[in-house]
Amino acid sequence: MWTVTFSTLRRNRGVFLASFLNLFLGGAILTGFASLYETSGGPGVSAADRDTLQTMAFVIGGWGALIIAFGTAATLTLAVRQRERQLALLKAAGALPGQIRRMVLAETVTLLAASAIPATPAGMAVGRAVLAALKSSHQVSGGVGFRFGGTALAIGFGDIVLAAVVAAYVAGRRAANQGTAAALVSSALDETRISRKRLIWAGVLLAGGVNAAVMVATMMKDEGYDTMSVAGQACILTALGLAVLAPLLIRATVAVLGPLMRGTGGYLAEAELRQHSRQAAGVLMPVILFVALANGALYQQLIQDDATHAAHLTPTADDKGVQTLSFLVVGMIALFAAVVVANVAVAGTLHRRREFGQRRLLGDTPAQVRRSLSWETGVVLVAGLVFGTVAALAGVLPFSYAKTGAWLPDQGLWVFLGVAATVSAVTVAACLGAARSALRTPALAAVAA
Amino acid sequence: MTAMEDALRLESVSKTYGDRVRVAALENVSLSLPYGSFTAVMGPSGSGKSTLLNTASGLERADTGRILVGGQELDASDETAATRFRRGRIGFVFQSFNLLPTLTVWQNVLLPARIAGTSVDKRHARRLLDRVGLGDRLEQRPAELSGGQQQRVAIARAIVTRPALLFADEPTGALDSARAAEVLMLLGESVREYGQTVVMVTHDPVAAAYADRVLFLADGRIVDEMRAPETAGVAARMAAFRTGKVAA
Repeated sequence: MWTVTFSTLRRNRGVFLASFLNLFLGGAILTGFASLYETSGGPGVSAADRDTLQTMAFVIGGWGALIIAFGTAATLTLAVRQRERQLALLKAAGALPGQIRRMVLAETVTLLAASAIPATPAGMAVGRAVLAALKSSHQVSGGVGFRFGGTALAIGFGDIVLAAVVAAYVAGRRAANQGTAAALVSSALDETRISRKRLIWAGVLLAGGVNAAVMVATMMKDEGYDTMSVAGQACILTALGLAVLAPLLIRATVAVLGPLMRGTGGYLAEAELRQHSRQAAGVLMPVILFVALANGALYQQLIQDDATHAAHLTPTADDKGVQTLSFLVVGMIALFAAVVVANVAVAGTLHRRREFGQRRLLGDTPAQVRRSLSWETGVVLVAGLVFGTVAALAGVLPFSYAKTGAWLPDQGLWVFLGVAATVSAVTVAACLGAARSALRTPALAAVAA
Repeated sequence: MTAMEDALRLESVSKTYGDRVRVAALENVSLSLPYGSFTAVMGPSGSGKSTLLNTASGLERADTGRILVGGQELDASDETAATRFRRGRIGFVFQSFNLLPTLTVWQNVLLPARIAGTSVDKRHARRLLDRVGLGDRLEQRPAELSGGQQQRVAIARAIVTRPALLFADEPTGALDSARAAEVLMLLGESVREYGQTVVMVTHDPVAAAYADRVLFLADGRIVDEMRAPETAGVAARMAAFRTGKVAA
């Protein structure tokens, strides 16, 4: 089976390159934060420094771990789902379900091993950079020596390996158990109903988010930076809960925008989004996370800054340090989310080469295909901005109330507009860029492939 | 007979593939097919029969020569131009059906008109679907239909806009013989009842016998033709080509 593994890795270079990039970035960020934990255990580190370093590693690394695990699982699941037909052919040729499962797992392990090589030095650089930021803001004394070893690697890669292996196992089992004949019918439709398991997960995550939000507004009014960290959790948990419901959110958005779409060349986009809502949901999930995290963290930081000024306090070195760090962390995790958005959008669009070919054979011009795809992208973005903002507000509103007594922050819309512009640019560029490439294949060849 | 009266006219059409090793797929092919005719194109694999269909319909560009559909010269200078030319003039039936999985039977049949932004006679579409025996399947999706049913939907979709020409590339290639017979009869009826002009590529002598004329292609040239074909005659002619080739 290893021969098959390597040849499929080579053949599906694009999809696997995307997964590789994902694993690499996630590994670098997580090992970076895990190295802070390892550093805290070094000889001669004072108790105060140890505390700061561990808080950094756990609180911020913890959120990152959640998002990165989620993004990794989403990308790997997509990589397997896109090859359902190919895997079905292997089964038709006599591969046993167990062999398919092992093959998918072997691919994942290969990718993990390959991505760990560049992720290790990159993680070292991240850890050093964060430690330097902590030192320059005097949160940690200058004498603390950087440590990066087995512990950092184990914690950092542990999260990714766990997420990747679980994703590979679930996706592999799905592919292995699906009937061979059913998988070979390329026209197979998505299961449109949302599973109970998914609903329960969403419920738990959303309840966690609401709980954190209530805590911020009530019990944690004067808890300094802890308030910020719990408000951050409110954002993340709400965003994850909504992301789990992504197929449902896509269909709800289509139901609202449907009449507008039908009138303006989005007729097929509407059908596609309704019937294949899972594909679109794959892009929607990271968009929600990106919008929620970037808006949530940035607005909270701005509210905190303004509250400090309002209290006629000059910002201390600590305040500045926290600000720098929070921008650094948001920057890294947002970068990760943006890469996931781009990956999923490119892979999902390239995968539809055949469908675009069919439409062109039936009389769609390439421009019409692009217009219809723009509609699909637009719907995903609208949904992502609306629900991502809802998740951001779950943290921002109670935080604003806790700091200023007013629910609505008055920091203006500029940050929001900047975040919206960034995520739109990434998504549109990924989708339409991939479409341009997919449309370059002659329609007949695209259908025959 | 003038060019205006032909549904399809090819004048010295050539097409070669490959950059380093040039393979002639069509060599100087000329033909004219009158309205309301049912033509089968046969030949061994690699003889250029699919290329003939694809270039005549503008899906592929010919290197040289002129192609006229209903007296209008095909402009295949780019994909958009070729697509606009094809709309409403040419219907296509594929071996692999090419129905869109996300659309229902009814939506699939109306799709080409919708894409072209033209109005479609819904009563005619309804009658057509009744005629192909799928009047009670309008709301189903392709995955819920058998292969034969899917191909009948595809035929209804191809002729609902009453195009001058209907091209069919191995339309029965993916079907068993009973389903194949249904599809072929349907193509024959579209010629007799709706005055459709049909060009069908096939390698099956049984299928070819449904046409009223068979063109035989070998190495990119039309080498023979047969009117009012019968299965046995077509099969014998094909076998003769094969042995003839071996002898040469």
